Amino acid sequence: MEVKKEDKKKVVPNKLPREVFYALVNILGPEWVSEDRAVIETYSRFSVDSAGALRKHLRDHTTLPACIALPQSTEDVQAIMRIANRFKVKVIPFTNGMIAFNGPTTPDPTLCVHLSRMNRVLKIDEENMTATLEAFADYAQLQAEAMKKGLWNGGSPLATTLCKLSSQTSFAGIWQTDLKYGTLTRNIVSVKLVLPTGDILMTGSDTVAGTEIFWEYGPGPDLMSMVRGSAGTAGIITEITVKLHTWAGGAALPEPPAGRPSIRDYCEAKYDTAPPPQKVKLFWIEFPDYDSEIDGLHKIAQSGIGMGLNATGVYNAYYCSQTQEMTLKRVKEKFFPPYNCYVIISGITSQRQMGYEEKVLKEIVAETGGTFLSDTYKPEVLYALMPWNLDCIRHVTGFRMNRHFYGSSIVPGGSLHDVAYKTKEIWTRTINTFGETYITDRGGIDDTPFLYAIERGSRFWLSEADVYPDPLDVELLKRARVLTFASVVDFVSQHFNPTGMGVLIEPLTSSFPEQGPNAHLFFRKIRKIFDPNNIYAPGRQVYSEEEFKALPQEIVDFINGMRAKYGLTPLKR
Amino acid sequence: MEENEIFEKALDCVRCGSCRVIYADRIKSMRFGKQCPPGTYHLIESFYPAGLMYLAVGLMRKQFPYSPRAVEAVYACTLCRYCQTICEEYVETKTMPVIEALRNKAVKEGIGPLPEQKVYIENLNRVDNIIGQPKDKRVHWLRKIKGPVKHLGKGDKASTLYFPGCQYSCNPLLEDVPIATAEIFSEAGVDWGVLGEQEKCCGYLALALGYPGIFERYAKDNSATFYTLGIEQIVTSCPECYSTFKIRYPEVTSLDVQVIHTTELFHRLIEEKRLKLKENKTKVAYHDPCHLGRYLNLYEVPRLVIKSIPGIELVEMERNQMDAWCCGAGGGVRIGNEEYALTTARERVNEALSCGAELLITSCPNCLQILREARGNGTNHIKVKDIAILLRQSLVS
Repeated sequence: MEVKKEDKKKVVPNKLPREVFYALVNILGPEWVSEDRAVIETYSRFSVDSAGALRKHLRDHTTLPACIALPQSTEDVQAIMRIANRFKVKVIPFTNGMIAFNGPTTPDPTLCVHLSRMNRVLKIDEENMTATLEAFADYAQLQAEAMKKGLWNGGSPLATTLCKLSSQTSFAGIWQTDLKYGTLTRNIVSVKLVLPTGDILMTGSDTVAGTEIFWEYGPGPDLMSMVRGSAGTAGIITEITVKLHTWAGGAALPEPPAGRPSIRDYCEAKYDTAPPPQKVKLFWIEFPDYDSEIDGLHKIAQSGIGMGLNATGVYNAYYCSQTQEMTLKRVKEKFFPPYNCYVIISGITSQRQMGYEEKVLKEIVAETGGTFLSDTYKPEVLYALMPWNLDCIRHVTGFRMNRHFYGSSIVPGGSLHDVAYKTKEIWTRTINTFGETYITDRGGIDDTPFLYAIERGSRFWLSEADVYPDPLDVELLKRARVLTFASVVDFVSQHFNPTGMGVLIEPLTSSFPEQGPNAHLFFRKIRKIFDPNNIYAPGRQVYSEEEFKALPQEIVDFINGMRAKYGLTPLKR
Repeated sequence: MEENEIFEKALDCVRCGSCRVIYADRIKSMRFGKQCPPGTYHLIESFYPAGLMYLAVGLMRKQFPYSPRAVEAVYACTLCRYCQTICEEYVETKTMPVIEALRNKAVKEGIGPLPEQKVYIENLNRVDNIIGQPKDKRVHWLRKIKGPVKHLGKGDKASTLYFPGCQYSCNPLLEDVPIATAEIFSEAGVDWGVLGEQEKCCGYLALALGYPGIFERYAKDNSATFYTLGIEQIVTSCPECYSTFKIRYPEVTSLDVQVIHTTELFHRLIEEKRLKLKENKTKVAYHDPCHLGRYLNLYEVPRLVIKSIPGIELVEMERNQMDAWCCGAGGGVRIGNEEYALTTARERVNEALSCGAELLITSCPNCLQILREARGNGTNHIKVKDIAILLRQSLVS
């Protein structure tokens, strides 16, 4: 690749005040604090972030933190925050770097707190059915330890095995099994949170001295609700206690019959054919059209059966193909049925439970015109879907979808009817207006968008559509931003909730007061309470007044241009 | 592939983190659930594969120069290939060529490798082996072989060239392995010989440390030697030589020779009933060397060799085969940062202890040496042996 002239522009990071840097070194030791240019570079770009990739292309130096610090304990985090608060230095937390937000959003020197040294599962309490983890402990660790005790956390993270529960808490925590267990954010018993002032906020029953961690409600107002889904606005979670549930699947997961997948030449389907865990069954159902699919999903969710219920459409091709070539071939050839869903049932109490749930499911599917994929009906498709066994329960969804950059998403929430039809309508209009960045952006247009049953009773659903631009192509990265932003504006203009729990929270709350109404003003006040010096996670949940006023005019013009396009009045600063 | 093209591949990394842990459907415990030795040891993002990929992109775009800390991160990688193996399944980022290109660039800019690692290169340039032994010491181990040994370099003929590799040939602490191997060959009636003083390093470590030119020189020299002597089959004890001959030599030269690892030949000899084995009631664990396993998918054969010994009980460590934890010595790390390498090896010894093994078997000189060093803290009684030693001790004769 030829290095263009502008590529030669050096990106020079900000520097922390020296007294802050040396204070951090004094706390953590020199090996755990770095402002080496090459080191901070590795903290500068995130995945699922076309905006971040674009900013890298544009040589935006604010993508770089000024310094990184790696605390080992809650006390270390407190000390870091006190210093930052005293010297009014911006702070962002960092776990995986696998987030949808854009890192530092102000031009000020920013301290990045990487929590990788706090990586233990601290306790599994069998009696109270809870697990307490440090900030960097992940789903895989928790599942491995909990399963030995007949327990599990209740869901796979719809991300990778490495996903950290603490950071997912501040976002959404969507699981494959939300139908029964709800999202991660509904399964928090307690958090220990270091506020930007350095104070510790604890939630749940363990805030009462001498009381165990068994219940999510402590005395007084429910402060947990200020934390969950706040996208990191409140503070750094250093410990989290989550609910555990009965696990009937055995102490170890079954291995694929053909051994393990290995080097590239061995990318064959047989290596992905792991059966589901014991007492877990996965059913795939095909429907003749979108309407009957939605009808079927609604009835299944209402019936009270099942552990997980989701529809995936063309996304099956991403998840269940062994190579990218195979993915694209299957998308083009429409190998997977366009209108399908899967249901996970589990015999938590007994085999008879599975028998009962299977019977109910079959009755609903018959009523709604669906057909089970089976050894006699499209067995080749059923076999091709086997990797989903790995994904649904075994926490390994990973990025085995498009095998390159995953740009961004929309995740609208609401009733099934609303999210199913509105997402399809709006995403189709958006793609048709602005064009796709890659063929697989069409998931949801030609078939079914992702549909997740988030609660029993079919009360609340999420849908999802994604974009997959080439990270080397600036124009496609820009288009990716336009696609997701335009669809969000489209949702808002029609009085639908465009994000449910999802991405684009930061500009959305401030840029779309229709969301509240005026929720953003309330969140600004909350921010001031938690963060009087406005140092923490700048702009995560909502811009402060100062940040909103400091937004570059071209960004405001872009937002207002989109608002005008969809009939909304312009923002005023 | 041009350097910039390789670095561009680094952009494919979506930072999913799959390369840092044992995947959730295979993880057995929190204790042994990690992957990536440099990341696990240093815990800083730049030491993980994703960090190295981002580092590569920044360097490609000339946004900053190499810093000592960056060199430390680039040379902390043991080249165990776990990241690429797992990524080939999911995102398809080719981490190994990127890390190799990063090292080449460090050498070109005069900032790499680490000072301690330069000794290897000096040794190669001086005596054609990484250990630094005089050239005539390469055949020193042969003094303990009973009976005549064929020196193919001196005109003797044999159907199989035994190529122990620098470490087994030149390191007196490891010479028991080629000796045992030779005794097994003789017991089975294998027609074998050595190159003797004509044997040179395969050049792998030069490649690994960022000196592709030196590697190419060795590849061409060795290929010419094999061709001139009419060698048809090479058996090597060293997984690095094995993967280098099989994967890397064809990139720069023609090598029309069958190359196998000693474990493959051992397996064949056992299958052909050319070795009589006596009972050995020991509980053993097998440590997969990266260059046999993840590089060449040779997982089953060494296990079959071990299991063919009557009475032996093979137990698996939590991280095994594709998921095996690297011993920490690869990629020049053992000499580059000994404490980190030893910490990584101790992790493996502890893993072997946790599954109740009395004996930890491996089939690589790097692994053997560092695992032996790592167990020597007096707190455990596990022994570490090469598979050739185990097999030799199990022979009826």
